[in-house]
Amino acid sequence: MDNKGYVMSIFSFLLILPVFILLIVMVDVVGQENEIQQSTLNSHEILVVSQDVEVNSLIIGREVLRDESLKVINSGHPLSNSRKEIKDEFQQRMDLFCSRYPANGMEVKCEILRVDNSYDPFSVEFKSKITVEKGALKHKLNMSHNISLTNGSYPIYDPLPSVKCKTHGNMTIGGDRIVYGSSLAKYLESRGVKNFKAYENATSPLSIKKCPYDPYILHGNSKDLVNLKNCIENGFYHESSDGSCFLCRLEGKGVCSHYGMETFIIPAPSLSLSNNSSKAPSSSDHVIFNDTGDGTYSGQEILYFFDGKEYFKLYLDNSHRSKYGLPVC
Amino acid sequence: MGINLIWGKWLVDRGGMVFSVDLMLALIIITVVLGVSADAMDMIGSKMDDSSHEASLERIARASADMLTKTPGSPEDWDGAGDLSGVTPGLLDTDAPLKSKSNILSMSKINCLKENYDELMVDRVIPRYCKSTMVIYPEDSSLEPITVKDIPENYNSSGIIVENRTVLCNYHNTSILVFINARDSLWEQKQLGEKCPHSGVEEDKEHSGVDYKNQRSGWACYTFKVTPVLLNSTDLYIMTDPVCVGDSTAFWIIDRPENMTEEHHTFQNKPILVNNLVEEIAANETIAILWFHVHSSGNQNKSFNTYLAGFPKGTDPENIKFQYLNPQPCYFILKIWT
Repeated sequence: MDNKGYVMSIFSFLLILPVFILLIVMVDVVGQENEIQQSTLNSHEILVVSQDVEVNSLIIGREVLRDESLKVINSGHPLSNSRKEIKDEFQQRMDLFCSRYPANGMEVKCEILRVDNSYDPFSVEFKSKITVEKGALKHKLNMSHNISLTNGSYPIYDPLPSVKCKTHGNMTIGGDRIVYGSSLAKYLESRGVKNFKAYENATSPLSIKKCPYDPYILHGNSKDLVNLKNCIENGFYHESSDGSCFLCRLEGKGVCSHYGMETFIIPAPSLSLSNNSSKAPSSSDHVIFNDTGDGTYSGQEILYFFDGKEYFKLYLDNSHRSKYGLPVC
Repeated sequence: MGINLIWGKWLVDRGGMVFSVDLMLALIIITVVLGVSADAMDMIGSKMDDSSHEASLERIARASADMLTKTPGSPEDWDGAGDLSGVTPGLLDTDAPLKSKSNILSMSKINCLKENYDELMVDRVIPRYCKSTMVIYPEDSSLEPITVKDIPENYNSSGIIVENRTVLCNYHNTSILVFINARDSLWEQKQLGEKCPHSGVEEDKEHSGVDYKNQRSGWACYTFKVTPVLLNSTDLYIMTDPVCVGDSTAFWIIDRPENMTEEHHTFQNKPILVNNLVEEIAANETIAILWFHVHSSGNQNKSFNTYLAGFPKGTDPENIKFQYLNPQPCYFILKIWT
């Protein structure tokens, strides 16, 4: 200590230290409070975003199914592996959808794990994993959802007739039905099926709709087969273990091992009643489009409506007749 | 003189300072700092004490309310299972469609919780030393609140924690058989309903579809399934939205494909009970598919939605409103205290 020195200088320095420590502690406490609030907000935002992605994945999934089916119908070429191709297209669209979130500081990823049949032939099931990350918070969600083929703001079209018959001639669309012209008859002729001429100018439904006449024996409930007529006019689809499921229809398979659906392919109405014992391929689409060996068996004619000018008929074999409650021959 | 000199030596400033303005300022700073920190510690201490007690009860109340209103419970269909020993309660309805991600509570789970409140809540959701009440108040004051648990004695506690959640509840256990959404179809191309059996029978009696876009009159025809069980347990009503239909050419038909009729009925500006008519048409069959046809003028300004819905048998006619077909907003109020 020299003559001009201060005794207190060291002490004042020592006092300023705790002041600084206190300041730092207070700033830290206030900062922590803010962090807690921020993480609560973040957590809420993450939950909302994951719900948003989940709901949108259903909408996008249905769009993918519609677009793939339209692609097959327009080109006439089946998909080689519908499950994989739909999964890839779906993944692409989900990636596009999730790409707008990083602008908000969030990292969102939706990984489509699998697209496959569900227990309901009128739905397609997909499994996915959604990961949402913001800052230090991460939310992972494994989910499995069913996309309905029948319930929605737009219909989904059946790709099978286009795949089978486009190469054999001109098919047109009349109302809500596919009009085969000569394409179906030529397709059956090329396979060597007997009595293919019965299916000249046949029609079949375009969009997939579920039949309300459930249990199916109600189709034959009355003698004049009104329920069957209405079902045919509306072009309803029925559950069938022999019928092809939607994903296999995209691959151009008329039959598959999964639980699928079937519908009626209606021959053109005729002006005169041919003898009742005429036989032709049974009017179910999984019979007509079954090109694996002897899959196309014949059925007996059944008249379901006469409007004074034309006779409306279809051909059904006994197993289908008993399924729909129609008189067995 | 010598002693004075010695004393003087102490008093005379020789260059060094023992006590200075510096020291005074430093002492002031010490005092301020010590005072503030003592105060802060005291505050923190009491706050921690308070919030640990309150937070535990508040946290319990908040977590319980969240668990009941945001989870469906485990296992998800616990209201049907007879044995409640391993069940964690939750009131979310798992049948509700996914599109509406809001909290729709299931009436059957609420009723099951009401009957087995103590078994399900005490020691599983709320600790044993807490008392609780749970009431669901619908926002519509004309409906009665659902009291899941109420303790009539006076609350004599220092702090009651109240948790309030806004939820949706399917109050009346209604089921919609047919919903004709004419108003939303004004801008859509989709045709309402299906082709009904009336088409193709006779040219002039055909039920061509109503076209609101082009203002053309026509029909909207839908199917619905009836069974004797349905007719015995529910009252079927036809309702319109708005209740008073301004369309003069609006009428409806219910028939079967096997027994088609042109006998039409008009809308009566109030819900119409159709059990007798449906029973007559269904004629005691085990399952019958019936058609509900609605004719309207296609005038966009006079468009109306039609419902064919089932209310539980014996519902008071005052309670038959189409608003009750959809889940009602309610306040779920849970009170917990020690």
